[in-house]
Amino acid sequence: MKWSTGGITKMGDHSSQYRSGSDTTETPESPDCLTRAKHHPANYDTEQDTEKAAQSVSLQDHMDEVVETSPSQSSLTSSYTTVQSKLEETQEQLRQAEAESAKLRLESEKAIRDQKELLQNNQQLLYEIQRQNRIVEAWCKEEKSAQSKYGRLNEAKVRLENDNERLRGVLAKMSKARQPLRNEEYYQRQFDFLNNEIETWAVAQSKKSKPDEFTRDSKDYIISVLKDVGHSCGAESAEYLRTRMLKLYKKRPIRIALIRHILGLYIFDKVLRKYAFGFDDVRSTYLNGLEDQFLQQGSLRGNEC
Amino acid sequence: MLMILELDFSTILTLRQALAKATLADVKAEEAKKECITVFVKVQRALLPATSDDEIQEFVKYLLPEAIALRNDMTVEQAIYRCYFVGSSASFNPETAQIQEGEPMKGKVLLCMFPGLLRKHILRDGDPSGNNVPRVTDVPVVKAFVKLNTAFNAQLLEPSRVSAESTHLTKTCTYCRS
Repeated sequence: MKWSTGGITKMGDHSSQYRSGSDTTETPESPDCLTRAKHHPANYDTEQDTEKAAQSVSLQDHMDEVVETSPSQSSLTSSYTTVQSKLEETQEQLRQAEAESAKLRLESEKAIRDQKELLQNNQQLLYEIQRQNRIVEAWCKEEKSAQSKYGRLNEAKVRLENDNERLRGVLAKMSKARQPLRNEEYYQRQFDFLNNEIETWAVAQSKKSKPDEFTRDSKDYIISVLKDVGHSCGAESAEYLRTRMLKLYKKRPIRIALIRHILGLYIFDKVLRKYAFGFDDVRSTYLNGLEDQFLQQGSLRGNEC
Repeated sequence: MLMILELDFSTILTLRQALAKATLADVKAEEAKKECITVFVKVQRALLPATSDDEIQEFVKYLLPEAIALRNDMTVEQAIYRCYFVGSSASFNPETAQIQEGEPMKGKVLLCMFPGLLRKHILRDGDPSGNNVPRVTDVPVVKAFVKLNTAFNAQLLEPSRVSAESTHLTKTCTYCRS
């Protein structure tokens, strides 16, 4: 904006004055009128005045030229208007840009706030994910533990099922066994069989035995075994044989009886006397006592067999 | 026990049988059998020094399982069987003991050679008032096999003097084969 409004107006005023010349209605006292009169050729007195007049003319021409080449007021006004409108337009654009900028700034601030919020949310989510991960890990552990427990329970179940089957078998057997299994002849035969086996063995081995080979150590060992017999017969036998055994062993018929006696007593004490084979004396005595109580109580009712 | 009062004898025997079956299932027979065989072999080594170890082992491993089977059969039977042994110097009772045919049935028991077997029973006897009184009784199934002292020369059965037995002191012990 090179031109100011006041300047243009003044120049316009002068150019119009120069173009109009004498047509203008000026008063003789005005400064312009005095200057023009001074530079008029008729008023030249000297050579110096002439030169001055020529310069004046030249200046006048130049001024005219300037006036001719200068834009007109309307053009200037138009330009001014254009410029003004452009200025306004630019200002408007500037305002719009400022408004846009403010809007963008607001949006940017909002976006920053949103971003912060999102960041917070993100952190919360991260924390939540970590928490969930921990829960999942705990669940995994629990699941493994549960699976292990399930496996153990399954094994126990299979074992119990097998036990159940076995017990069913035992029950079936027991129910079958709840009847007389064998008659008394069977037991008589078995007793005779064992007795005969021992007798045969004693007879056969007594032939081989020589009384001199039977030592006191052997006797002492046998006496110690007889003493350990739980039944009173063992102790009685040990006491009886302690001083007689070597003598009895010398004669074959008595040797046979002695061998049979010792073997029979051993089988009686370790096997036949027990409630069941493998039971110790305490259990056998207890269970035999229980049987006796059964019988005593049963007999009180007055049953007959 | 009070409940048993209300049961008859056959039920008692059935109960006993079930109890015996249950206890038999619990017993650790194999260990006892091993131990029993070991001691039985040692006893026979001592008693029969001239008999080989193999023979003794074979005999013991044959005889003992038979005896054990018999014992277990009796245990699970629906009856109450009891084995008994007659002590030395006991009076001879033909109801519970037997001797070899031809031997005199007098004197005292010298040696019991094989145990006897009896069965527990409840009998009803008449009392003076005419009522039947039940009582537990023993029914002999197999009599114990005994040898009476009269079967041998009395001199043989006298106790030995210490000097007589001491002659064997120097002999080596053969039953343990050591």
